[in-house]
Amino acid sequence: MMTDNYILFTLAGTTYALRTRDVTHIEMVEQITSVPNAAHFVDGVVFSRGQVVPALNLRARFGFERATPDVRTRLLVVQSDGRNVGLVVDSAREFLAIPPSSVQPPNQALAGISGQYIEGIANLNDRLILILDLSAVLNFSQSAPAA
Amino acid sequence: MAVDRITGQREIVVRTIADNMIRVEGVAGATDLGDGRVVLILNLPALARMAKPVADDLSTVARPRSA
Repeated sequence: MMTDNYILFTLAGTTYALRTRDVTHIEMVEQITSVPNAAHFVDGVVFSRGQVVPALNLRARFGFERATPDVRTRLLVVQSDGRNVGLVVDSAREFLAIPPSSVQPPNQALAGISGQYIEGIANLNDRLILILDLSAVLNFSQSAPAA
Repeated sequence: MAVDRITGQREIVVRTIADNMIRVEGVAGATDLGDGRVVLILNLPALARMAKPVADDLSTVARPRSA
């Protein structure tokens, strides 16, 4: 089986992974313009490589408390189903190849809101890495709240 | 339309807001100021339509302190 390459990032003390091919680029978080009446987990919009993309706060998406942005805060610009979306994460600074044999499906014990956004759990040298289900994170049925 | 402050006037390139996550009523598009900042472009007719149903709530809108 092929080993997949991942970009690791942290969120509320936990390490998560996204497939390298899903990530277009990684940026420092600078100016985010807030959007009125957007979903609560949307920090706003950013201008990235000639495009206006939403900045989705992954902490808020997972039901965690938002963190004050600092020098390690990053925007992971991801591509999924033709959409470009920026994910605001605590930090991102590592690439890792994860063999599929190290990945297990998430179990029921993985409770909480974030559990539904996890595609698998990798256990590498006693290091636990949660692999993100990108389409689940980006898919939200509710439209913007009515004014 | 009451605003906090008018900061300037300029010609801009209107960029469409493609993603549903940030497509909201009353916002027609966005533009970038060239320094990385994004500015939203308002859709005035849509805003006016939105204002009607909540006209009764205007009393709850924060009023500026006396000038």
